[in-house]
Amino acid sequence: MAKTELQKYLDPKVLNKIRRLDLQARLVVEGFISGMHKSPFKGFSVEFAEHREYVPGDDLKHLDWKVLGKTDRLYIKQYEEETNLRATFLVDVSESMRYGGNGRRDRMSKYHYAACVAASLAQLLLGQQDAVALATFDEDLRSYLPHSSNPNQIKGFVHALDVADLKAKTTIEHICHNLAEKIARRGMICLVSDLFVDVDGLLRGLQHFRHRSHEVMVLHVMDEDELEFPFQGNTMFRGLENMGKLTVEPRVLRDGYLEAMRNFCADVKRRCIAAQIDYKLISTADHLDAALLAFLAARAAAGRKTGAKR
Amino acid sequence: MPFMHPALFLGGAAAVSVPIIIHLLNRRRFKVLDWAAMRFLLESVRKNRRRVRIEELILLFLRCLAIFLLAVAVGRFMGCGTAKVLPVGTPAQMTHVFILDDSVSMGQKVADTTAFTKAASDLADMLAEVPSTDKVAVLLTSRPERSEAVFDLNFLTEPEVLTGRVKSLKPADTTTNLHRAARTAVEIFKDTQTEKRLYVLSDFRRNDYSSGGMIEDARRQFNALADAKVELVLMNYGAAAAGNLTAVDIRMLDKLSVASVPVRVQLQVRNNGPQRAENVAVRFVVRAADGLEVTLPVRTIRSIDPGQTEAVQIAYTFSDAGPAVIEAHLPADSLAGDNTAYLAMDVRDARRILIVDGEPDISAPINAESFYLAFALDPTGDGRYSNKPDIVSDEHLAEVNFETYDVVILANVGEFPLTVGSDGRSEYGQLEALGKYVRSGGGLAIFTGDRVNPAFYNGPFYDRGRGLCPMRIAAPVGDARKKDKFVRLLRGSIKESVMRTFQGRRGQFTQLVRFYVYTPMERSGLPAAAADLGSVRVLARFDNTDATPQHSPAIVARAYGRGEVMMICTSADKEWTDWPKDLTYLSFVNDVVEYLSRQGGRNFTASVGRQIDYTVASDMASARVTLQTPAFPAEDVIALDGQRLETGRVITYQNTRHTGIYQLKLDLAGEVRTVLFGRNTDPLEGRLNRISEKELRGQLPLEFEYHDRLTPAGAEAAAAAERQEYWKAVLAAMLLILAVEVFLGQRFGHYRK
Repeated sequence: MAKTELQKYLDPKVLNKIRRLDLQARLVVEGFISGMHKSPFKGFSVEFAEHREYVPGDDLKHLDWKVLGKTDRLYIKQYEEETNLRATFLVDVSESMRYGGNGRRDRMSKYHYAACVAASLAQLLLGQQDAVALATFDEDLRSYLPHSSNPNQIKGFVHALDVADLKAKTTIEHICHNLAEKIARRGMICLVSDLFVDVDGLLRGLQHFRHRSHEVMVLHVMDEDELEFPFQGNTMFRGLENMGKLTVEPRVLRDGYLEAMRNFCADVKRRCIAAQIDYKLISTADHLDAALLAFLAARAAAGRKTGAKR
Repeated sequence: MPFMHPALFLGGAAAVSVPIIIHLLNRRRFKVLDWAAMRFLLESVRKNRRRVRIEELILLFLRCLAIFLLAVAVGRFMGCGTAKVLPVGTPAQMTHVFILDDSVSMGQKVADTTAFTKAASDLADMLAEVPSTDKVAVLLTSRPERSEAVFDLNFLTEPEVLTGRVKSLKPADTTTNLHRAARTAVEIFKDTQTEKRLYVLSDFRRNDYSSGGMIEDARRQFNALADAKVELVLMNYGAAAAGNLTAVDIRMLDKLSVASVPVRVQLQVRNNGPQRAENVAVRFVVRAADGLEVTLPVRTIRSIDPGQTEAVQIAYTFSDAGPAVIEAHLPADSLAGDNTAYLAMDVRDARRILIVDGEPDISAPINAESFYLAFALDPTGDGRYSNKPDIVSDEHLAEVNFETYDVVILANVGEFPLTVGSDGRSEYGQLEALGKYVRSGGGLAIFTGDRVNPAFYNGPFYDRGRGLCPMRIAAPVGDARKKDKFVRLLRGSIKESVMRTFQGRRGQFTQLVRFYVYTPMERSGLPAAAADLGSVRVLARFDNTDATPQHSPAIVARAYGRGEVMMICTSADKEWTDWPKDLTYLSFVNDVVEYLSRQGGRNFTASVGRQIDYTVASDMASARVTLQTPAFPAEDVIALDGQRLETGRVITYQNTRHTGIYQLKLDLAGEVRTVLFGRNTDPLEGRLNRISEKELRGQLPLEFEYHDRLTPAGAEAAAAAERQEYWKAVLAAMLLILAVEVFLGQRFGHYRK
């Protein structure tokens, strides 16, 4: 009972009724976890691996003193490597993210959805003592919350998302370059955006992260309207981010628009895959677990990749 | 316009703007949406804008076309058929002469227009199609002379101006003058070297081709056309004869219209339609001199059989003298032009009578010869009984102008004075003047008496049976002093309505009147009738048995030219008879005067086209004369000078093209006299029987192309069916276009959900 109760918060229509982002994030995570049959999180904690005999040259601090006391043998305690995840969320706060919020009650705006996804993931990671950081940007870096695994980090995280002012245009490349220099240890970079930017610049920026051995994933948040273009009747489209105005009969443009949109998404996806970047297109009408699952799948894949390397 | 309902078509055509307006309004009405994915939209627009615009225009055009076709269907498109009348595919330069019949009968109603409107519209269409290298002339039958042509032979530099003018033409009030227009056409073609074509747009009434003289002339003209190698095209606009009543004739039944005496007016109405007309309401409107307009109660003619004429009479009493008009209006029918008749009248204040007294007595007027006559005519002496007798003695006879009188009475006049003529010889000048006066319509009554000179009467006055005196007379019979013997009027001998005082049961009044002395006829008897003089009729005889001849004529009458002479073979006073003291005398004298009076107003009313003749009275001879036609104020007032002949100043005006009232104004230093003339439609115009093509080919001497532009009743239904086919086809086309519009709309994505 409780399970379904919590699961319903994965539905953006339901979630939209909750105002506080942190609460939303917690509900999403709990709903998400309760829906899992077998928790994949058990192995994530600091885990004992095996004992081996001491050989000269081993660091004495790893000696298992208890075993030495009982058996008078020198054993070295070996653990899984301490791989505490450092995840950085890049959330787009440009004007275009505002779309979808006003007027339609049961739908979240792209930004709201993106914030919710980011906060939920942060909540999830903090819950297992991983460190999260948040960078919001439009044409410039608007705020940066450094990495921390402190459970209180979520408050700052949510606050930073809440106060974002969606006004400016988007440019992503130089922000990526800056951040790539700033984040020293490798970790995971999660970009949440509608990607209405120059694709070449975007890819160059993301490749900088890859170059620094970060795992990069792109959550491409799109409104359902943008994917379906369901409009009828004469409409004046007022472009966000100073894109001008256009009065047209939408029905006659629908085919052309959808084709352009499909081409764009396919292009981004193809180039992301080529750059070994995880890409997931999410509609604001989708349940939030899609985003979470995509993240976890990417995480698992990353884990496998690093494992294979070793 | 080839539409049955042009107004509906025009309205519908105007509605073509509706889709355009909707389109424009739609462009103005939109909802506003803040949109993020603008660049994809812009890209789509960039790729599709042209296509979208073209698609929109195609759909808009289809919608407009659909509405236009609906307008065409609703306006009942009947097809444009004029193109085939003009020759097709002849490169050579041509000369076209169009004769448009604008006679009254062309005003016949056909559907909701008239034959003339249709013909004029066809003519305009043809003119618009004539190549600019061809020469064109347009003639009207009402103005057949070349100088009056609507458009004389020339190139059409501004066809719109001419077609506009042609379309604005109205039927005239005159009859068809086709032969004269054809003569003008012959004249036009005479100098032309190119190929020639003559188009006659007329209704070809049988009536126009039955009157002998005109058709002879027309045939002559058409022969000339055939010689000139003119191609003739006849376009028949004659519709089948429909119900039509024609005002054939309007006339005064009394000779004179005198103020305060009822004047009787008769209108004759002919039924020219194929059905019997029932309860024909005739409206009479009287316009008196003082501007008073009176509509008389409607007179109804019970029924008129086809081809028959019925008369309706009214009596009206004018209160004042002066020019007046009585109009008769028939109810509206298929031909409006022949429904009105105008009667122009000159209402007199009194009948003017000249009594020439052969035995005046200034000291005791009662003894004058004329006393009882004057008393009978004007008992109160103030003209109240509508007679105004002027009495002159025979000595003053030379100074009298007879023309100013309606009746002249000679009472015991011995003889006429001899005057010296212009050639120096002596002559009976006044006798000639009197003869001319009677010939022109005047009336003359002659009473005999003791002063009568038989030598004069049987001589110049009788003039071997050609003079004014209707019979030779002998010396008087009887003794005026003793009065012992007398004769009476022979009861059985009394004839004619003027003698009604003694007719029928009143025949016994003959017993009351005694004639002690009378003037008998000479033995030679009555003169024979001559060409312009009627035979002498004996209206009453004396009952004398002894003297010869037995039953001598007492009252004789004779038509003399347009006038009438009456001779009463006894004295006008009580010298020879006791008649003047009897009441029958009063009645008789008044009847005689009415009978003899000059016909007033006959010259004033005639059919249209008949010229106006008016002799100006000598007192107004130098007056300024103007004529106002019925078309006033569209036509200006015309100043007329007239000719100064011996008889006086004669005003003539020939162009009486319009029906209605012509006002002739004589203005002499502020004194204005008005004379009215009425011109009515030729009653033959009302006979709408059209001539068939076969008969036409029989009548005209040359080959011609024939187009029946208004089919007769039988073919009308077929034509209507044909017209229906048109609108059905147009509606089908409209539905097809709407289907295409929906299909394309779907295809272009305009209707996709």
